[in-house]
Amino acid sequence: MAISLDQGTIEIRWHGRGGQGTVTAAKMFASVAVKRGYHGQSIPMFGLERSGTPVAVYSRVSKEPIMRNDPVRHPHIVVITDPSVMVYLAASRGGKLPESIPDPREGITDETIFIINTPMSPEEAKKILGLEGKPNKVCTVDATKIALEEIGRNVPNTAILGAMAKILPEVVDMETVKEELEESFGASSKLRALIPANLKAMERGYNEVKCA
Amino acid sequence: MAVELIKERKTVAMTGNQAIAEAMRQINYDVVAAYPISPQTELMGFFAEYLANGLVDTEFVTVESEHSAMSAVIGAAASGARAMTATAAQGLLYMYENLPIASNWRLPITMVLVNRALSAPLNIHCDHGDAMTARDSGWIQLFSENSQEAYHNLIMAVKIAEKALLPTIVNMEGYIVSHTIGNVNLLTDKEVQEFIGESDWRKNVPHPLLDTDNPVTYGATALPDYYTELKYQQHEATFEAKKYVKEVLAEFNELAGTNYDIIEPYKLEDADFAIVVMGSTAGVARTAADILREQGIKAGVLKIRLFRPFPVEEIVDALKHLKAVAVLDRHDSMNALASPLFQDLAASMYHLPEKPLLHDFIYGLGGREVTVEDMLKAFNRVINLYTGKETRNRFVEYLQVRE
Repeated sequence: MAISLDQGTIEIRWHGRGGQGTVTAAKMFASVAVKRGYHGQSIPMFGLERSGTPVAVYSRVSKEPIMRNDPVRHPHIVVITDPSVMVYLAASRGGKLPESIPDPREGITDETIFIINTPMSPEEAKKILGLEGKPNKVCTVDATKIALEEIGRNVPNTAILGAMAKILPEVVDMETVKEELEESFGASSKLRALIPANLKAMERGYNEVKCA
Repeated sequence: MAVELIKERKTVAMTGNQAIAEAMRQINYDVVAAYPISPQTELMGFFAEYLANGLVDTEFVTVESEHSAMSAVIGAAASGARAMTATAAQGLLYMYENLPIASNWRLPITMVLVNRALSAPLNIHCDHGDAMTARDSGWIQLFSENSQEAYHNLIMAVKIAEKALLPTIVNMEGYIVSHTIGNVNLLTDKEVQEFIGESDWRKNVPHPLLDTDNPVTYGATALPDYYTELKYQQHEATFEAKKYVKEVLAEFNELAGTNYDIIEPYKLEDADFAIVVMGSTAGVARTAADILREQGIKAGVLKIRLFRPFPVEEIVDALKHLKAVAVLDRHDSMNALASPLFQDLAASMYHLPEKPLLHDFIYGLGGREVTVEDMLKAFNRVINLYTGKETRNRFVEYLQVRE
């Protein structure tokens, strides 16, 4: 069920909302990739820095140096960290999303894998995405619930990274994420105290992600 | 004394702003003065953390405006201090009246310009509008393609400025470089210190203001009898500067294993068509050139790292054999023939008996995303102009305007 860097650069598009840590998750992803010895890139597309506005973030990971920095048009992986995207998609009944929300279906191919933060089953999510009968792999994990239970705050990043560890184990693994957390949280004892809970959230993300 | 943090080279994931702050820490400036403006604010925030943690010896002057930031670093540099500031867009415009003073006084100040579109309309995203306003100011200007280059450029800029005795701007595009995370190979603290050399206020500038044994005047009047001579000295210095830039790049390549040059040709040797570009778009343009080459069209790219002093001979040499060249300007030089890069290129080639067709495209304004399709469009337009399939009314057009 995993995809490999042997096929070339892997391109990822993240869909989230300002203030929910999607940019942080994408940065962690790139940082973990670099720690594993690859070339990693994450490009946040900023609006006017308003909390709550939908954001798209682009990542690339490769064994070779990454030359381009244009937006990812045909993602290998679409990560939806904002659970409301699925609600909007369900309400649109296969139609267009409001203009302010980047459409996660844009530019996808039959190979595009979805990793979605939602309480929905992967089958349900696949249907809402209009991908029934298509070869696409759609994976869901209730990262928000995991974050609330383990960390006590709506920061679904580490649970999402757990799910990514299952899809892209070549890049994301528990040990490197731990190293990353220790470095980025290291300066503050208050943040350091959150590392075990984040690792638990990541482990649960890994174990609880389901794909269809 | 600054704390030695990085004792072994390492590769980390950093944004442009983080990489610049890291270079600032390793350089350990004597004086940094700054006023916040997006997207530069975060950069100074990272540096202020290093300062608060006691990792640098820098005197950090949090001034009340960009005008004062430039005034403070001018004062500091004239005294012999290694001084630096950073700004963007209107911040640069607000400090502008001091820029030609810094250059005529031959002060080796370094400045990071986190390129941002000029108001109005208000926009925090990238274009080169700010950098282009400084092109006649007498400052050296380098452009950075990514956070790795921004980090390297700033370290090199310190040495370039002190060798050429001219203030130097390191351009780093707002958001697309300043906030994009990528691989950065860090040198050790010791390597950076050894490369730039210890800051010595008696030697950083030839006539430091604080050398009371040898008192000098900065800011004297020069009336019609001497103004021309003082400008002429500066004029000659700007022509000399390219030599120093090349020297420092070569020394740096030796140290870091990089392959930097003042211009960076990509597949130009046998090319028929090329894009000329500065900054983060170079990689997207190279991707487009590769696509065209797969279709049998000989395409290439010229990236310009050193924008001021403009490397006329090198650029002419790299482009003179081409059929047509698409010049990409991330700025609109209103009321002019075309935009600045085109003007410089066209003027550089004027003397050639046979020269490529040149066409100017204004692109990427206010952070407009730059895609491979945009680059292919620019290539195709100049190819069609060259073959006569298309015609033009002007030398310049907008590449990405929505109709």
